[in-house]
Amino acid sequence: MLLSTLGLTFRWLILLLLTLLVSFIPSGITNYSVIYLLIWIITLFKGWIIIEDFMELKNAPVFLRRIVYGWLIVNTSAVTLVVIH
Amino acid sequence: MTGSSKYASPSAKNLETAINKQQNKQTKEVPGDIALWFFLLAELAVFGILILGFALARKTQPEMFLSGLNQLHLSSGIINTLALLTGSFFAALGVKKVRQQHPKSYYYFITAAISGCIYLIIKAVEYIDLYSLGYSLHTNTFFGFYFFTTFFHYLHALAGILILLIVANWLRSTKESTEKRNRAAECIASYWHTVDLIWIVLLPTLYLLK
Repeated sequence: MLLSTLGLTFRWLILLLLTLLVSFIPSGITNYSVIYLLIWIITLFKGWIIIEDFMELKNAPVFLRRIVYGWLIVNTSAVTLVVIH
Repeated sequence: MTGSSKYASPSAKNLETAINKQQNKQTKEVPGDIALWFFLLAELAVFGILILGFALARKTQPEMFLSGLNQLHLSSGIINTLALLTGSFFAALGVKKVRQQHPKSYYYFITAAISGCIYLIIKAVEYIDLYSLGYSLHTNTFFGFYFFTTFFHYLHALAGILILLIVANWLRSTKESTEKRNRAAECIASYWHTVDLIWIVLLPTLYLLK
């Protein structure tokens, strides 16, 4: 089921809010591992919205979804792990 | 409800099954063109190698990378992300309007291109700023990765903007079939979303994870 215009607008606003949110994280939290974890989760969530709703891969063949999601998870996790360790 | 009471005759049931099969077949299609998706996956692979290379290099030289990351301005990274996300939103809306055969659907692609131009301008200012401070591709490993990866992405965004404008102009003037119009809109939108997705990963890599 593809999204309505209102649904797309709602997701766009969520993406904008999450982007603004990550820019304010460092001032509130002193535990850096928590910050990195939060950034990792937010990046994956933003990627998920783009892949599912903007790219419309929600109904695409499984192999394509797996490759694109795999790319997102591997790259985001690798960068986060390097910073944490 | 049993099958016999739901369907008036076996042929009606067969017809509904055939329609469902056809719908399933349609929904399993990729947006745009399968050939384009092979190209996009190749692009993702190239950027994936660059990002993983960046992560590995950071692991071996953490101090140099931290010092380099501190030279970048978070505000420009955030504004660029907002611009690209807005471009993606308008490209997605454009696809929807083309499917609905909206006469002004091409406006959405022009708006997406304008959002992309904001990204290009801010990134160019960032490059000039860094260059004036004496940083270039040859400064060290960090700036080598930074300039190469982001400029490669910059070129993709530039190409995306040009194609968005070409497709918008084509949609405005063409008398082609609905199917061809839909496909062209889906192709350019998929390309733009891929450029956006790559930036979504580059944002924490370069501006947030310090």
